[in-house]
Amino acid sequence: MARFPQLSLWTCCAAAALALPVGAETLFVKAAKIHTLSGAPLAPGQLVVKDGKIAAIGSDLTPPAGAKVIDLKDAVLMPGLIDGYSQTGAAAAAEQTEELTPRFKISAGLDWRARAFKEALADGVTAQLVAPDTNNVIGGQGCVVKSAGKSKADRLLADEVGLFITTTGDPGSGNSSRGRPDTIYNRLPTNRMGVIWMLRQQFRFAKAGKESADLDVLRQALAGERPVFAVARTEFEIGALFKIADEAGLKKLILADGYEAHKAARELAARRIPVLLDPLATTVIQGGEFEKAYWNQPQALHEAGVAFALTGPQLLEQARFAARHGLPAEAALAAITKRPAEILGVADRVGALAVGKDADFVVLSGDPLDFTTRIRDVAVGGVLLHPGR
Amino acid sequence: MAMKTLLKNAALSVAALALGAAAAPAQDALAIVGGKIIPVKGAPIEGGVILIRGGKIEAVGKDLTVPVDAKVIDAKGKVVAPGFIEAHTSRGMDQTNENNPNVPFLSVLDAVDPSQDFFDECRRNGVTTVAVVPGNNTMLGGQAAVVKSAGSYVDEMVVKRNLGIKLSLRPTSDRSRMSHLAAIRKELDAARDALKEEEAKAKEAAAKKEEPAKESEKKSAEEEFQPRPRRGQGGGRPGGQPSAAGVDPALAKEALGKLLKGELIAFIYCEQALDVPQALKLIKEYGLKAALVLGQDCHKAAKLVAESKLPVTLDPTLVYWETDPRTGEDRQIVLPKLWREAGVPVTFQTTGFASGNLFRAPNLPPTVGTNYLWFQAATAAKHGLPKDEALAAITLRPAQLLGVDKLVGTIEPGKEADLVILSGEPLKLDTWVEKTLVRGKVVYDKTQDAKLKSLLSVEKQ
Repeated sequence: MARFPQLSLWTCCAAAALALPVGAETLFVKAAKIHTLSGAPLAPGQLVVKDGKIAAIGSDLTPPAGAKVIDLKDAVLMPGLIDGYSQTGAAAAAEQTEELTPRFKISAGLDWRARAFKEALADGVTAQLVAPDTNNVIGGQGCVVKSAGKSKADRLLADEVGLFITTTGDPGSGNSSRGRPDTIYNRLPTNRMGVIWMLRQQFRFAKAGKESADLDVLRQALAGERPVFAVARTEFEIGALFKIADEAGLKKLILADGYEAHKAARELAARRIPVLLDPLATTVIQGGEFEKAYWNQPQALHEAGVAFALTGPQLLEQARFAARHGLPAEAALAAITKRPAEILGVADRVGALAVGKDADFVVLSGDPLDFTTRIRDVAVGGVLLHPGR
Repeated sequence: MAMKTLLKNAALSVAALALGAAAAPAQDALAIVGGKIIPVKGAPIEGGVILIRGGKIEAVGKDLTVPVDAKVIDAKGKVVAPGFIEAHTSRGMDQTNENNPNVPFLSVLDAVDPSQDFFDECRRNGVTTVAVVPGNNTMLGGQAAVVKSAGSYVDEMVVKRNLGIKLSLRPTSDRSRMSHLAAIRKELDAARDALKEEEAKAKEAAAKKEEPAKESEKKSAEEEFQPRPRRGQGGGRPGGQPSAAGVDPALAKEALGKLLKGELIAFIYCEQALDVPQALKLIKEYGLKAALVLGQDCHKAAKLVAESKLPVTLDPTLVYWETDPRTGEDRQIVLPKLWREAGVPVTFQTTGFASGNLFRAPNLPPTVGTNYLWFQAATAAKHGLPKDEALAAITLRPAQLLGVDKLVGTIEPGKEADLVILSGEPLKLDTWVEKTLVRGKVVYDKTQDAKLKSLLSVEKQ
């Protein structure tokens, strides 16, 4: 590529494939349509990008002097997609030897060059929440990471995000004697009873002022300084989460998975708990514990006034199917851009195309919610990255 | 009723019987009126009419006269396409493969279960014909058949009974490709020798008309074919050895003989690119009539496949990532794009889905869309295949691959009335299958689909 000569060198090198060249050029991007997610779509649309940020956006802009013009012709642009819940690049998603690790930060265990980031980028995902998984009762703290960027620092949108807990029975699996009475895995919890009990106990200790650096993190959550991300699937698990939240006095709560969130929709709306929804699927019609699937769950949550984001792989396809199954088109697009950005607290930077925000966008061959529209290219900081090639 | 109409009806009934319309549905004459017809062969017809009688398409056109006795389906504002065809699936049976990898004499028709969710899903998504083929975990897997996706019992569904044999080049159990291929050749050679012997004897018999030669079939007690133990009777399964005791070799030779004579298609499964030249060698050596069932990796042999001009069915996973083991380079593979660039016309399969049915797709990662044949076609269209070709890839082309294109695959007079009435243009986000017809009978109606309704109606609090 003549434009950025250093690109031809590093495109062959997997290690640097996610690194952007250092360049502070002003770019002028033209396209047939831009879904800004910050007002009505622009047709045609233009972006002025300076230092990786949007300096201007409109429908009849002219290129500033000296700007490099990128004419995307008939393409349709939308903000880079945000995956609200993933374990992308997490070489280690939970500490094996302990169940309560509130101080553990997943950013410390990230594989920044993981293929998973390239896959995400090729699917249009420019940023994602990387979360501890549910192997631990309290897994630790997540981070919001861009799929590509100039440097690690540039890619880390937010670190030490939230406090991750779960009211599912997941932490119980693997906690058995494994044939040896002295193994560390012969421990609490082995089922949901233990999980809930441990959570209640930890929050009680935190409130009682028990001294511990781990409990300090819980105290931040209690004070509302740190949101609590809770993974709960079934109606019961969500109910248990409400009980714990009430008992502890947790104010900022975010539900992840929420397979049966529609059963608690009114409560979630009243408590203003947003949902990072389990990935939609058409190949399964029931959950892991035989919960009934409802393909129009996004529509139901939308109508109940619950803020939610779609998460997981095939994000754009998920939005398409959510729309097919009843979610209004606007809400479907928001659920993979603006909403996750808001829920994750990074909406000042990403999730919509507006002045001051990062120039992260997806270049599409047509209407984003059309099954035959393809992702032609993805830009981070205004730089087109041609992922997948 | 007027005498004239009575006589006309009587005549029609007689005619219907004469046509041998054994599957003659209750509505003998049917007209689908007012829809946009996409015949696949020929240009689309706006506001067209399809006249159906005795399960077959009688006429297609604009401004056709609808017979008085015809039941009318109003398709105004809808799109009518040929029923979709899946060229290769191993679902619809209780198990995809026998444990014994050398069973060319078995038939999928003994395992097809019309009540399976799979066929329900087919009808729901406009798929009217499928080729049920034994899975790829085998050597000579058994005989495939073409069936319709509707019927109370298997015989009602059969379109083509002896379609072909699954020949898998993926080695079974601990074997390497060396012994796997050698075993295949051994079986085919034995069958070829048996054929030659038969031909020689037939020549002799023709020469000496007085004394026809007798085929002496020696069957020892051990060689008597053991029937498969019935489920629930505590039986184990037959041994997993290739040329097992308990299997009558004559049956295998008979089946393979048909394969060698080209009466059965060899569905050759190539797991990896290196299997493709082996498949081509086998086809050449034994004069096989073949269709290639290609694993993901086979795109690396696209040029070879293109030269062979063989019909092809792609892996159900059309888009995925690969890391080059030598360079560490990560690459997204888009199969429809690669095969189109290689100039190879393809047909599609769908991924499985987990249901509360006998057949389980274990460890199936939940995905959106890939279980719909139309979605696979849309994925190909997304990556550059013109939409009309994408539609042909799930209608006419699989019909041609399966040798049933005289019966199905397009909307033309004389063909069976397998149709799908869509709410809009095919492959579009808002387009749903409204009705599916097999042989002129409505086998799916979205307004009566309780399962879909339930999936799309969250319990209100």
